Amino acid sequence: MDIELIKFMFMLTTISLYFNVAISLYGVVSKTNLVKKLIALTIFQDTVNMFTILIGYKLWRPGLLLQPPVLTDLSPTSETLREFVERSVDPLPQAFVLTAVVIGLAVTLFLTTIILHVSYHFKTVNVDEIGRSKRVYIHEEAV
Amino acid sequence: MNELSVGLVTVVPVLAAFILPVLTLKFRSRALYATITTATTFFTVVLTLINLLEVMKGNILTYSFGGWPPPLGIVYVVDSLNGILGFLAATLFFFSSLYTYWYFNKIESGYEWLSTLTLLLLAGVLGCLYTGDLFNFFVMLEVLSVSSYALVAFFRRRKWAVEASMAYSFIGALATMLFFFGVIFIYASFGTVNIADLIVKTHQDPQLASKYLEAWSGKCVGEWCYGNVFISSALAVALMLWALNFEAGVFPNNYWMPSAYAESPTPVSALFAGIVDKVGTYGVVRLFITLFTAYSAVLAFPLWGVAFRDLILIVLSFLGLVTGYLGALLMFPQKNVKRLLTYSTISHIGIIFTSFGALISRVPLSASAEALSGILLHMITHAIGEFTLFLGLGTLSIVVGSTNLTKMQGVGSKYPLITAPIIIGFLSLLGVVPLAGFFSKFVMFTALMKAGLPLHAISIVIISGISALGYFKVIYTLVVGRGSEEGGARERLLIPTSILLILATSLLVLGVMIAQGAIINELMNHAEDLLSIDGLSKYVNSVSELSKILGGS
Repeated sequence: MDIELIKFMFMLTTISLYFNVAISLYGVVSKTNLVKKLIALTIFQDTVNMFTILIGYKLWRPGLLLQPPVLTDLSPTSETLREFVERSVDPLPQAFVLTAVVIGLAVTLFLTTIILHVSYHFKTVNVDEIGRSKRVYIHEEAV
Repeated sequence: MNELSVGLVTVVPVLAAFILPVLTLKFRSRALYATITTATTFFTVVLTLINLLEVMKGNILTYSFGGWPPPLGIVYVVDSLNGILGFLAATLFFFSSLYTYWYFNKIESGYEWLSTLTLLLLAGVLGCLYTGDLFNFFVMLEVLSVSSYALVAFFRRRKWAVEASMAYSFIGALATMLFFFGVIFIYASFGTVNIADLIVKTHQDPQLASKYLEAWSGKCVGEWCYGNVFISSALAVALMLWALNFEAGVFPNNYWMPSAYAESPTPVSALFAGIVDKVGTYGVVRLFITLFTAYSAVLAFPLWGVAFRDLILIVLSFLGLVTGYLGALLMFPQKNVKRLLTYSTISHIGIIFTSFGALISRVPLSASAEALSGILLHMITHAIGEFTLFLGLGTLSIVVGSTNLTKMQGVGSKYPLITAPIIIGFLSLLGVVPLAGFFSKFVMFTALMKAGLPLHAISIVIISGISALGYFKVIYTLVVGRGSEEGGARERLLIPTSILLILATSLLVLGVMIAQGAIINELMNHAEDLLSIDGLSKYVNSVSELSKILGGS
């Protein structure tokens, strides 16, 4: 493959991820339906996770050996280790993403439950309607 | 060195929190859960006290999890700033769990989950305070926020508790995710998330260099590490600051606080106002006095004629002013007593943020150190004062059966031993002389004066004056107002009364001790140490030493 093409694709991915962040933030802030807000939030989480994976990306150069980044020796020498480092990507972002995905699961589960409870109490998941009844409640409390 | 008292601080509450749900299969006794929570929190109090005593001697404690040498693994670092706050947090959690002996008899069900979530909250708070790793800060922030979302929605049969939790959790989830985004930018450009290693890389000062840390994560030259450091740091600070401001409740992000604090159970709202909002403030302080300091070139590029770091601090102090005035003005009309206390919390957070204006680089070190010790002292006095008030007024509102002030008229004269600590708490928050709250405000006032920001300094006084209206309204209603006489027999409130008396006495004793001058000098020395480049070098060296021992030279 051409190196220019790879660079172009890399750029395209980065820009589209930024675009995704913008769209999902817009969705969380401006949608009035709580379920749609939740969907936008999960899109945002996934975009950030994708972005993190992208940081560990290693640019392929012509002449680089195309082999999977696996150590085949049980007792590697410094020579094989150096070659392995040449081939492998940065593993730390993947560890970050694993942690963030698990945390995201907990948060998403909580948000789903709270939406369920909101719909029990208010018989709606529209934040505008909930906000309207809240203003009435606050007013009654203060007077 | 690997200090076990640092490492166990988060492990023990998490373990206890995981054991508690298993116990629910067999045991239903309310006292058992209160006892387990109290025992666990007492253990953390002991651990944090050991750390505090060691830190006050000027040492820095470290603990590396799993024996990984620092820039690779997670490391906890305790210096005087987080040592003091950690002890404060553990103590407040201890008192809150003592309070649950009484409180659990007042709720129908769910007491076991209240214990579990409180322990998780404790782990989150202490983890956020003690960690020396930005990614771990994010993880602990999530532990803290998920447990606090659940605690706000604790009374899930109450409509408005669920609504408050919803309002908090949606934007909270967004904010913490943005914090993660910021951490990713830091990692992409610096190649590390360890705070000590980041100090080395943001400063590039020969005094701060550490060959043991560099051996793992490389060396930075100029603005180029693994990426452009200047741009990515500015971006990361922007993203992380929003999350921290959201947790602290600074002006545009404090809309969730009144509902969330008012609807959560009493011991929990006391903890929220006492220590949880301080975590966000601590994060901001740590970001600007340890990571991106005045000595670092990373955030020093000029924007509108001011260095970018100074511009952020100026904006933060301005936002603090707005928050302070807003909280003080909105406090007076409130009828719900917990909502009123929340607005008081907001105004005090505003005062703390106002003092950030004295941390900018053109202010001399002595004035900055005074401002930092004022910030730290106000965190302590406000935490104790607001905690006392939430517990005291929460207890009275449970006795009366309503948080509405008009229904609480005259309860105070019925329970004088609860009302006295409440009045002391209010006076301390207001800043009346022999009490601790006065001295913290006074230190911030003089620091802002020395820093050449007289308007900010005078605003602290004006904000206190405005909030006096709200405070005296509550005191007046409690003591002078005529209540309904048929109220029935007096309840026995032995546990809440004794806790409140201890807290009020501590406010008084702290005030007298500060008046003698010893504490203030001690704090000032530590603040100067935190702000100076020698202090930074001490921080780096302690982590570097750990790296040397664990990683081999």
